[in-house]
Parts: sequence; structure tokens; C-alpha cells
Amino acid sequence: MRRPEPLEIFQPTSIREAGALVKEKGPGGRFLAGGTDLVIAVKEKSFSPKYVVDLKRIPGLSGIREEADGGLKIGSLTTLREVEISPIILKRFPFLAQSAAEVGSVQIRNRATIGGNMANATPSADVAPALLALEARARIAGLNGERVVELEQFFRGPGQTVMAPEEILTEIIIPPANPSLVGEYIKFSPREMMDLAYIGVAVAFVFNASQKLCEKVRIALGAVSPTPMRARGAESLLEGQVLTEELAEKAGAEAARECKPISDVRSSADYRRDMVRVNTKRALLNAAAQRPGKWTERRDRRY
Amino acid sequence: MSAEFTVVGKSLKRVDGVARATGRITYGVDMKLPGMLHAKIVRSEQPHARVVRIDYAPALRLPGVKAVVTGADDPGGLFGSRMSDQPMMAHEKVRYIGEPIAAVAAVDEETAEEALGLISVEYEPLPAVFDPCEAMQPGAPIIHERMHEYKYWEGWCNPRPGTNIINALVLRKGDVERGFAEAAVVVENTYRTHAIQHVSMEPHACVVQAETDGRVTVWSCTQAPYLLRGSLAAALRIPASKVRVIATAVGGGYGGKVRLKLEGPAALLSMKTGRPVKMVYTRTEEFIGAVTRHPSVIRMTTGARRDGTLLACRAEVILDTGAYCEAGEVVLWEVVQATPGPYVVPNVWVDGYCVYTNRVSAGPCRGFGWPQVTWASEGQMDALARELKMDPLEIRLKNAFEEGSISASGEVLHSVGFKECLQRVAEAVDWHKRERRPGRGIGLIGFTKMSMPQTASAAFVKLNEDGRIGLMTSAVDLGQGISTALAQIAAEEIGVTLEAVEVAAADTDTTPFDSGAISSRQTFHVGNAVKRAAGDLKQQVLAAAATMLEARPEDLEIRQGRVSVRGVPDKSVTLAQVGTATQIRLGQPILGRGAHLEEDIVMPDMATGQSPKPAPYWKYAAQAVEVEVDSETGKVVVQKMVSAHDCGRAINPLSIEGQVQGGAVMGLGFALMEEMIFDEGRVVNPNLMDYRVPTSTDFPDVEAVIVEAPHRDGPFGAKGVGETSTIGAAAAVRSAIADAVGVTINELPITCEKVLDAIEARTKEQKLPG
Ligand SMILES: Cc1cc2nc3c(=O)[nH]c(=O)nc-3n(C[C@H](O)[C@H](O)[C@H](O)COP(=O)(O)OP(=O)(O)OC[C@H]3O[C@@H](n4cnc5c(N)ncnc54)[C@H](O)[C@@H]3O)c2cc1C
Repeated sequence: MRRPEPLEIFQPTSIREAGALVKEKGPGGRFLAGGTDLVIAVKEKSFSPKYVVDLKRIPGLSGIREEADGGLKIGSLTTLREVEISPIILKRFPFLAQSAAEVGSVQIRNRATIGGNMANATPSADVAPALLALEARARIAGLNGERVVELEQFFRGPGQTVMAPEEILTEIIIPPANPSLVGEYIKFSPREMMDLAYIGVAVAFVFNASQKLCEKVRIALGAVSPTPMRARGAESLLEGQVLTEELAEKAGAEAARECKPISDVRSSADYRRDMVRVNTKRALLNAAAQRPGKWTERRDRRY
Repeated sequence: MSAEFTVVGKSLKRVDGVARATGRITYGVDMKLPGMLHAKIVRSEQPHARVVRIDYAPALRLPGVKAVVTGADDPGGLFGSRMSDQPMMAHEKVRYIGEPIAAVAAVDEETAEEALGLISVEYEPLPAVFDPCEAMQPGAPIIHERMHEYKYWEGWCNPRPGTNIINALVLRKGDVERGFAEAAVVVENTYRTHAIQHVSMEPHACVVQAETDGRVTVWSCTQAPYLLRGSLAAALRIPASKVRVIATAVGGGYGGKVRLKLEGPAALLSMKTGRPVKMVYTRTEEFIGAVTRHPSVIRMTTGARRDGTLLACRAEVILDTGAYCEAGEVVLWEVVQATPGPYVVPNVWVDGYCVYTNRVSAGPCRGFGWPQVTWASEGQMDALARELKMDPLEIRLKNAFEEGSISASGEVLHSVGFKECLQRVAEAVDWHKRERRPGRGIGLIGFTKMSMPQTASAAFVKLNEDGRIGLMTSAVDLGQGISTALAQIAAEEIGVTLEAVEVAAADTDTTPFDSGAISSRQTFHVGNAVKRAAGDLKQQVLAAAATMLEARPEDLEIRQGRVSVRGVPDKSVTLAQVGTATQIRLGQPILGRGAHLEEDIVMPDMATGQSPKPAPYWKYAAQAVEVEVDSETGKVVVQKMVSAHDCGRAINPLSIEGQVQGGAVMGLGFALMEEMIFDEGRVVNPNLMDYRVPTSTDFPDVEAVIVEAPHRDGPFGAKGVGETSTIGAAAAVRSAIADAVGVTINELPITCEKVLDAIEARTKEQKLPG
């Protein structure tokens, strides 16, 4: 094992203190949440942060809260395991719980945080497409107060976000949703678990089941562009339309056209595009069929 | 299972089970000695280059660094299996990215790692070749210029100096041209297989101590202590008994830990510093600096009569052994003997080539070439069945070897449970009544593997003064359960319980010679040696007890650790009394000795490959796989797997089931997931994120079926099963996919992308007019 550079670690107890530390110490530091991305980067990828600021002593950064307006707030230090098994999330947005359940293994999910999954800004981050499809926002605290940005604006490129070095992602805000909202997340990868997504597709829409009418359609894709992305062309094809298999197929084809995948050691760009097409269609149809059973079945295999 | 046995044939618990399960067993990676240094290897960054200069002065100035060694410190002996072609460290030139150039010893692992960055190597790049077919062409860059000087075993190797072909072997029988002329159908295909890594849970690890008297002590998680001893002694140019190898517990081997690896540089560093030196490979080093399975290109043409009777088979087998042989020459030797598979074929023509390329060496990897040739031969059986519109099981049964069949090399086969294997898996998947469902398919294939000849085993069995039995062999338990199986054999033969046997760990200073945990040979070879040694001990015990009981030895029997006069149970002595008397009072300690000899082996004629007995024994097996293929994504989900193995006699059925299940999953990984990807000789996915091994959630439970066709030379009839367990999975998956969606993939691995491409190509074809 490589000898890690001697590393200064701070454990502030407030957001203000944490931000001030970063301001004082200057660039090159990193916040630490679950460490499942950061520690590996340090140990295996020769990444040497100048110093590390552990966020876990700051109270109030974790937990899932239902708001009076029907929205949801998820603290940035909430673990993915908590998201996966939260009764509120399972009831309101089962596909968000499912996207969390797709990450690594139980051991990883017990450490990994939702904030870390966003702040690390990997194109294949599994929870990002589901949150984009829910039009989630990120609350960011800095030295001069807070700001809230649309999650879609939050990602800037692989490993890059809008946050300044001293800023902390404090919570994920999910706006109130129509009770008829349905959704689905499909992670497509060859291995059942402990694999990175070849592609990820999340869909969410308000569905009038009797008329098969879709509204407020949101489709988000992972691992097919420098940041998780919305497939707006595909969304508009469906908006206000009756969902048929043919239309779902068309929307899939449109999403495949919109995305910008690369070829790498895992998969060719062409295949990724094709998988976006097929899995967007399937996600739409699965969501419309409201088959919560399907994901329960998949999830069970993972334990 | 026969009632005549009391210990053999029973699913008894592992003798080392609790120690392993509780993590208290000492693996190679756990070894620690006082004053121990930690070492790391500087590896080539070039696939083929002259090493012009190595500058390690800056590394020596780093506090904590104790020594650096390079090829200049290496006495220069070459080692190998049947072909000695490899140095411990690169001399003058490097032949693959990852080849050891220098090694550093320091007070801790981190300092050694840091020192690597302070060693610079200047190269003069040479033209390189990465494809085995290109490497065989005239004009290809020559990787081993001194091939003509290499030493090898007669009867195994036919090197072609001046080329990259390190072994060229043939098998000739009958007249293939006439066979094809008579055939109603002839199918011809090219098959390719890829490189995989063994991915043992425990990486390569060792501690080496150069002793003051010139001896070298090695603690290593090796699979073959005596082979390691021989290789290290050859490399160091010292007598073999100057090296002492002590086997630690092994956390998986699968063929990857058979030969000298990191022990060489560690020995040189220990000799230089006088301190024990520990070395452990990182996972990345396992990929770039250990061994892989041999990639292969196999062209095969097979002809049959209208009724499915095989008439002729012609094959060209090309194995890519990478930079060094690492037993590639033996892998080729084995598979050439039965390239057409376990079927009667009157006319056979096989040309086999083992070829050097500039990539990490390929070596033994669970199955030893047989997964590759099975991929080809079973592809041919499927292709024939399709052409002839025959049932795939039917055509196999029609041609299958059975007791007394004559092999392509002219051997009259014995202990052939092949047809029963085929029938048992067919039953398990309800082959004849299987229902057709869209996207679902079943593949059913068969195969064989030999155990290699010219290996040897010996055993010592001693009677302790407390009446318990000490078992001394150099067999290695990789987790497969050989310690338990050998203890069962000894207990059965002597007449004691399993608990009365203590199994010693292999130590070349005290335990006798053995060729190691290779070629699925330990149960058969070491088992025989143990059985004989136990029989020898028993005779000595009976003689001593006869004196004590004033009876004749032939009237005595041993049961449950007590020697008594047959029919007069109270006229008896315990083994403890015998042990105490012989060792302490009589001064005649009892030590049973035994060995396994292969008296009837005839090495094949080099010109024809013919031999009436090329191998100690052959194993036979059949596997069936049921898959579901997603025709929109190409994803293949394995729904069911059944694996039947003729293991002669199951010494411990529970252990065999474990082997069969583990091997099947490894085979499915080879088929569907695992692949080392190379770019100009560089492994681009040397980690467990990008190189996917199956997890426990990927494949269903495997149904293990044990078939017993006892072998006349095996201990209680037993043969091996370790490697066979993995061989056919890929071929079975391919057949199942073809059954499900009508596409045939002859190039491994079967990725989702390949399946989808094949399905789409087929759909296009069908849409074409005409
Ligand atoms: C074996 C393994 C398997 C994995 N599998 C998957 C997978 O299948 N899918 C997937 O998406 N990911 C996977 N991951 C990646 C990882 O687990 C997730 O991205 C995880 O959510 C990261 O969260 P963390 O809390 O561990 O982040 P950390 O490692 O603590 O931090 C990651 C980055 O985000 C920054 N950061 C963290 N929290 C904040 C905050 N509140 N404000 C500002 N910056 C912050 C850190 O400074 C750091 O740069 C895997 C990782 C491992 C080790």
C-alpha cells in the first residue's frame, strides 16, 4: 500500500466552523462524509488532499423529514442504506429507494451518504437520475449563508459541482409531488451487484392510470454524459400523451439520440445508447404498470 | 455408497474446517518473523525492450531502504515446468509489461513502495507482438533468441528455435481426408478464448529467510512446495535440498500458485540483507505479474455420417502463452491428446502450437487448456447436431467414450463414466420433456480431462506413542479439502477414526516428495501413496501387536484404534500400547512408507502422438445450463446449472460437491463476465471493479451430481475432480443461448453486447428477401 501523505484531519462541530476552516487552510482540502469515494481515491488513485474536514460531528446533517407541503428533505449525511429502507421513501418514491439499493453492497451503503453520491459527481452515480427525475434541489451552505440550486444545475462535469471549496451540501430537497406520481429506476450492468452502471435510467410522471395519460414527465439518465442528465426531448414526446408501448419505444429512441455516451473498457458508446433506448422504454412501462413487486424481487436477491 | 467402508465415502467435516472458518489458520499473507523486511518489485513498463540502465542509487538513499536487487544479482538459472525458459528477474531485456526488473527491501511496505518511485529504468524498445497468430508468422519479432539453449524434458517439448513457437505437437490417427470424403456433413469453425485471472482470495505471498549456513527457508502459499523448491534452487544455482519450503495455508490457488514467482526476488533480497523478507502481491500485481489462462485460437473441422457417427476431426490449436511458458508447453501437450473431445473418432489430425507473445505469461488455470479445447469440440458437436437436425444429447451419446473405447492416441480407455454423466444431467433438466419457452434455452455438453503423467507422490505415516496417527505428505490444501480426504484414506486403511489422524503441513525438510496440488492429481496420487504407507504401517503394527499378544499377525485385526485377535475381542492391545512399546521400550518406531508409481505410462510418439497409456487417468463430466436471454439487451441470466462428474469414487462427497459448485461458478464467470482486456500488452482492467468476477447473487445454486466409475489404479477407485468442475460451463452457456435465441457465439467471453449484436445480425438476415 502507498504511504498516504501525512494528513491533517479536522472535526468541526458546526457548518460555520467547517467553512471557516476551509477558508483559512486554503484550496486543496476535502470534506469527508462516508469516505467510500474519498478514502479509495487517497489509497488507490494517488489522490492527496492537503487536509480533510470530517462533516460527521456536525449535528443536524442527517435524517429524512416529511414537510407539511408534502415535500421531503434528506440530510446530506443520510446513508444510502437509510434511504433504501426509509418507510417514507418506500411509500412515496419507491424508485428512489431502489436507486439507493443499487449502490455497491450493504456494507458500502451503510457508510455511503446521499450527499457524497451527489458531491462526488460521478456520471454514473446511481442516486442522481432518480433525484433529477424528482426535480430535487440541493441546499448549499457557505460562509455567507445558504443557497438552493436545482440539482440539474449542481453538476458541472465529472467530479465537478457548482460548490465552492468551502461550501457544504447540507440537504436534498424533494418538492411536493402529486399523489399519482409513478416512477422507476433501472440500473443496467452485467453483474447483479457491486458493479458500476453501464447506464442508468430514472423516469417519473404523474399518471392517470384509467386514461393512461402522462403528465409532468421527467426522464433522467446516468453514465451517458459528463454529468447525470435530463432527456428533455423524450420527456416532451410523452407530455400529455396516452402512454402506449409504441410511444414508450419512441421516447426511448429519442433519449438514446439525446445522450452523449463514451466508449470505454466497460462498454461501447453504441451499446450504451441502445441500452438507454431499451431501458427508458422499460422504465416507462414498468412505472405505468406500477409494479412495485418487481423491484422488491430484485432487491431481495441482494441480501 | 458401499457399506464396506467406515470412513471413506462419507461426507465428514473438514479437519481444518474450524480453523479456516474462524480465520485462525495462518495464510501466507499472515506470516511474520522478527526483523522482517518488506519488499516490492519494479516492473517493466515496456512490452519488449532492452534494459539499458537501471538507476537505483536514489532509492538506496531513502531512509529505511535496506537493499535493491536487479538481474545483475540473479545467478541467472532458468526455471520452468517441462521447459526452462524463465529468469527470476529480467536480464538484458524485458518481454512483457509487468516483468520484474528490480526489487527493493525496506523496513516497511510503504517505504518499499516509495522507493519504487526512486528507481528509474532506461529502455530501448524492441518491436513487440501481441497476437499468437501473428507471432507464428515468419518475420515476427523473436521473443526468445536463445530458445536453442533452453533445457526441456524429452517427450514433452518440440521447440522451434528461431521462431516464437516453443512447442509444436501433433496427434495423427487414420486418414482424415478419407474420413471427410465419406462424411455426409462437415462443419468447420474457428473458436477463440480469452485471458482470465485466477483471482484467488489470497494473493501470492511469501517470507524468505536466507540462513547463515547458505540454506534458504521459504514460507509460501504455494500449491506445490517441491516444485517451488526445485525452481528456486535451479534459479539460484544451488542444490535443491539447500532450499526448504514450508507451506502455509493457501487461500485459493486454481493453478496460479504453482510456480516460482515472488519467492525469487525475495530470496535475493534476503541473501543481500541477511534478514527475512516478506512480499505480498497487490491485486493489480496479480493481474499484471502472475499468470493468466491461455488465450487460444482453435480451428476445427469435423465430419460425420448422416446418422451422427463421427468420422474425422482436424484441428489446429494455438495457445498464447505470453512471455514465458509457465507450463504452457504442458498445457499444449495435454490437450493435443484429446482435442476432439471424449468421443470415438476414427480419423484425427491435430496440430498444436504453444506460442510466445509480449504479454503477461499464461499458465496453469483450473482446467489446464481443457476449457479452451472443450469450447471448440463441443461447439463442433452442436454444429453437427444442427446440420443433421439431431438431438444434441443423442449425437453425444452416440459417439461417447465408454469402458473399452479406443482413444485417438490408441489407448483402451478404462473408468469411463461419461455416458452416465450425460444421462444424469439430462434427467436433472428433464431434457426430453423440457418445455419450449421464448427466450429460454438449455445447453447440455460433455467433456474430458486427463491428469498429467510423470508426476510423483510419496507419503509417511507414523504411529505416535499415544496411538494416534501422524500423516506426512507434501499435499497442499487450497481449500478443496485434500487434508480431510487423505486423512480419511489413512483412517480407512488402518482401521481408526478420522479424528485419530493428524495431518502435518508440507515442509520439504520433513514431508516426502510430491508434485503438488496440480492436475487434479492429489486424491489419486497422494491418496495412493497414503494408502500404501498406511498399509505398510498396519503391517508393522500387526507384527508388533502379534508379539505383544502372542498371536499370529494374520489373525489380528484393527478396529476403532484397537488391535485384537479376530473372534476373541478381549485379547487385544490399544494402538497407544503398541505405539508406546515400539517407540519407547523396543526402539523400533513405526513409520509406514508409500509412494505412487506410474509404471504403465508410455510417452506419446512425437511424430504421431500415439500412446497406449499417455495419462494416469481421465476424468469425464457433463454439464447442463438453462438460461434466459433478454433479446433486447443481450443479457444472459443463468437459471439453472447441473454438473455431473465421474470421480471414480467419492472419498468425501461433501467436498466434491463443494468443488463442483465452485468450479461451475468459476466457469460461468469465464463464460459471461471475466475478461482481462489488453492494449498493446498492457492490462487495462487490473482491478476488481473493471474485471468482474461473479458475486454470490449472480448465479443460481449449482446441482452437483456424483458419478462413480471406479479406477483400478485409484485409491478405493478414486480419481480427481478439482479442475473438471469448471471446464464445460462456457460451452454449455453457448449451447443454451443458441437454444434460446438461435445465435451461436464462438468467441469468448459472451458479453451482453456480443449477444445483442448477434441477435440483431440474425434478425437482419432473416428480413433479407430470399
Ligand atoms: C465498493 C464500492 C462500490 C460502489 N458502488 C457504487 C455504485 O454501485 N453506485 C454508485 O453510485 N456509487 C458507488 N460507489 C461510490 C460511493 O459509494 C458513492 O458515491 C457514495 O454515495 C459516496 O458517499 P460518501 O459519503 O462515501 O462520500 P465521501 O467519499 O465521503 O465523499 C465523496 C466526495 O464528496 C465530497 N462530499 C461528501 N459529502 C459532502 C458534503 N455534504 N458537502 C460537500 N462535499 C461533500 C467529499 O469531499 C468527496 O470529494 C461505490 C464505492 C465503493 C467503494
